[in-house]
Parts: sequence; C-alpha cells; structure tokens
Amino acid sequence: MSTFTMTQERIDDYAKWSGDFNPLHVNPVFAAQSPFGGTIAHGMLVLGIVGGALTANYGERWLTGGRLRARFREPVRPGDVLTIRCEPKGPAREAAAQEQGFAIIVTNQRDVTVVDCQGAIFAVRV
Amino acid sequence: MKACDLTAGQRLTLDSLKIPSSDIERYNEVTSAPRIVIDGLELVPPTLLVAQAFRRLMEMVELPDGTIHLGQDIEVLCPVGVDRWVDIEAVVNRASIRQGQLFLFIELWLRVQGVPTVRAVTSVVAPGAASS
Repeated sequence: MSTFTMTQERIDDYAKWSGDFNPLHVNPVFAAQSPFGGTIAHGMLVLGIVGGALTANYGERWLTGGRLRARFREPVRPGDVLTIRCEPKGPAREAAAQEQGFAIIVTNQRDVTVVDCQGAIFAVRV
Repeated sequence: MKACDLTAGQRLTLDSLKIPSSDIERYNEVTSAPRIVIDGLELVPPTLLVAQAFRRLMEMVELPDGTIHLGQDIEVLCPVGVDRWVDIEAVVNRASIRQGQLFLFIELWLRVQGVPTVRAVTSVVAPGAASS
C-alpha cells in the first residue's frame, strides 16, 4: 500500500510533460464551470501512479509483459490523498499458469474508489 | 481532423516517437515511479509509452475542451528500451454519439521495427459532439 497526494502543481507539471492542456486540468476558471466544479487530474497521470505502483511491486515483470485494465470511476482533484492498494490474485485464466493476476484499487481520503484496475503479470518472455 | 469526424474501423498512422532517458526521469518524478534498468538498458514504463502515443493522437485529432478519459487498457507484449523508435498505429474501434456526447474507443498499436510491443485501448467521452 502506498499513498500519494495530488496537487495542482503536479497536474500542471504533467500537462507540460504530456502536452495535454485540456482546460479541465489546468484552467481553474474553465473547470469551475464544468460539472466537476474545479480542476481534475489527467486520467493518464493517475494511471502513471498506478504504473509506478506496479513497477514497485513487480519490477521488470510489469515492464516486460503484462496487462492492465483500468477504469476511472471518480475524478481526482488537487488536494486528494490517494491510497493505492495492490493485491495479488490467482492466474487470470485457467490455462495461463505463468500469469500472476492482480487488482489495484485507488481510493481517495473519503475512501471513495477513484480508479480500479485488474490485470496480470506474465512470466518474463525475453 | 476533428474527433467527430472519426469513424469506426478508421486507421491512423501517427508520428513515431523516441523516448530519451531524460523524459523517463521527468515522468518518474511526476508519477513517483521507480527507474528500471536491466543489463544496462533502461526500460520505458508502458504507461509513459501510452501517454506519449495518446499525445501523438491528440496532435492529429482535435479533442474538444472538457474531454475526459473513461478507461485505459494496456497490454505489454515486449519491453521497450530507451531511445528506440516506436511506430504507432491507431484504430478507431468505436465512435458513437449518445446524448450529444461523443464516445470514442481507440486502439493503439506500438511497434519497434515491426514487432508489436504495446497494445492499448483508450476510451474517452467528448462533450458537444452534436455541435462540433
């Protein structure tokens, strides 16, 4: 389990890195008029944090072979404190004994799930 | 090209990308990811590759302000090392309008010298599809 605090500075840094300047992420005036009522983090920024957790848990196995299915359930806002839980599961498929399944749940400080992921790591193939 | 002009089955060849070590370092700082080096070769995080492929897609397809990401699937088929040229092909799996919003499911294939390395499916919803 790890925790991560989202900040507007980090969102702005990610926008500069990725080139994604969607005003929902970086323009507080625009975002205030949206259904979200304020800026939200890029989905790919949150997924990058999930990827970091996968790398921390599985190292090269994630970088050399695996799959991930992520669903963004709720927006992540500046100030949110995210908790990332990575739980191993059995093989995702009966026939795939060399797979290690996992689930990753990301919750905010109100214990609301913001991202849920299912996936599997393969045995190293290269 | 506007997002509302995309049709299911359409294929797009995006500009190739190459990830230098400095880009990985900056990405890892923002996402708090650890650096992985195997036998002296630094590996590119798959989420970074998909983020950059998505950037290439946005350079070709104009997504309206307020577009949000619904989901992301990633399958790593083969590792990608730093400074390798990665070719990207996008396939529109689905493009549909519901209640004035455009739902797009786009499959991205990343290849190094013709070898598939990452397959990703990005799903987004864009507002104002009827008027864009």
